[in-house]
Amino acid sequence: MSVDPSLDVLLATTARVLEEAAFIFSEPASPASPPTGSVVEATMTFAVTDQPGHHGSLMLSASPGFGTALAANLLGVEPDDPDVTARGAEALCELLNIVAGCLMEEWFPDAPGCRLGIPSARTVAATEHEARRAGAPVSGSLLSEDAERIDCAAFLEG
Amino acid sequence: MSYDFLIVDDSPIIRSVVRKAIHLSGIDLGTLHEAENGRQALATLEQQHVDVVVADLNMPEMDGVELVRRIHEDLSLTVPVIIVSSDRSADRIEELRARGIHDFLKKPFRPEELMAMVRQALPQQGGSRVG
Repeated sequence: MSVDPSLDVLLATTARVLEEAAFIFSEPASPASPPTGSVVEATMTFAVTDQPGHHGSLMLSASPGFGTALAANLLGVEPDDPDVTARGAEALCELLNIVAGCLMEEWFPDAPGCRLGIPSARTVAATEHEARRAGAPVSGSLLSEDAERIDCAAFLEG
Repeated sequence: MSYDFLIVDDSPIIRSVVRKAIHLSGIDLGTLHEAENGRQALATLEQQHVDVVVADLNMPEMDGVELVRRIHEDLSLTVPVIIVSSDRSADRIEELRARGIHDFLKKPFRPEELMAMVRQALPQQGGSRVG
């Protein structure tokens, strides 16, 4: 079975989903400095069917402000709408959920199927986030038109 | 004639997106029920009339595959089920089709795609009226 967990595909898939689902345009970037303050991390597991060695987890992370903007775009309302102010983490989870589905087709095109976990999110200090991201074998960043940073990472086993 | 819907998804954001798509479809909307997982959905279907179910696949407690199975086998309902999911696994889609889902829509989707599926589902059945 072919396995190509490339960073380019991860970034391109995330950028495409951001554009199609939330009308947010972004490009791969190498941020000059690490994030500051707090970061919302959304993670979920995946496992390739009938291939016990091919499993791992995906992580998308961004600032709480980007999460709120993402929620607003997904729902088609203004970012200051009271309906979205507390839904940034949830929005990032849904973005990750969609990215994961698309990514499995790209990374494991010959697999009979993949099992995706339920995404979850938490807010952590930027330093903690950077340390986790540094340990990811596949890791990169996107920069949105509004200069918001979206970190993408995959932890692969097998 | 108005139609009653049941949206089943653990993400409130996706439930909102689906709700908006249904509103935009121009279909005469009756009652719009919502559930966070398959278990809640079954409870609703046991008690309420529903014409179309729009459900996620990956959900906590009870996923979409089990939900479809129990709708047909336990409740003996013929209500059309449209699965909307980011999970594109060929084996699961095949299993869902074998279990008689009406259609499958991959995320991300355009509202028009869902609207078209919902409209196409409506004339084919008589709903899940109980009692």
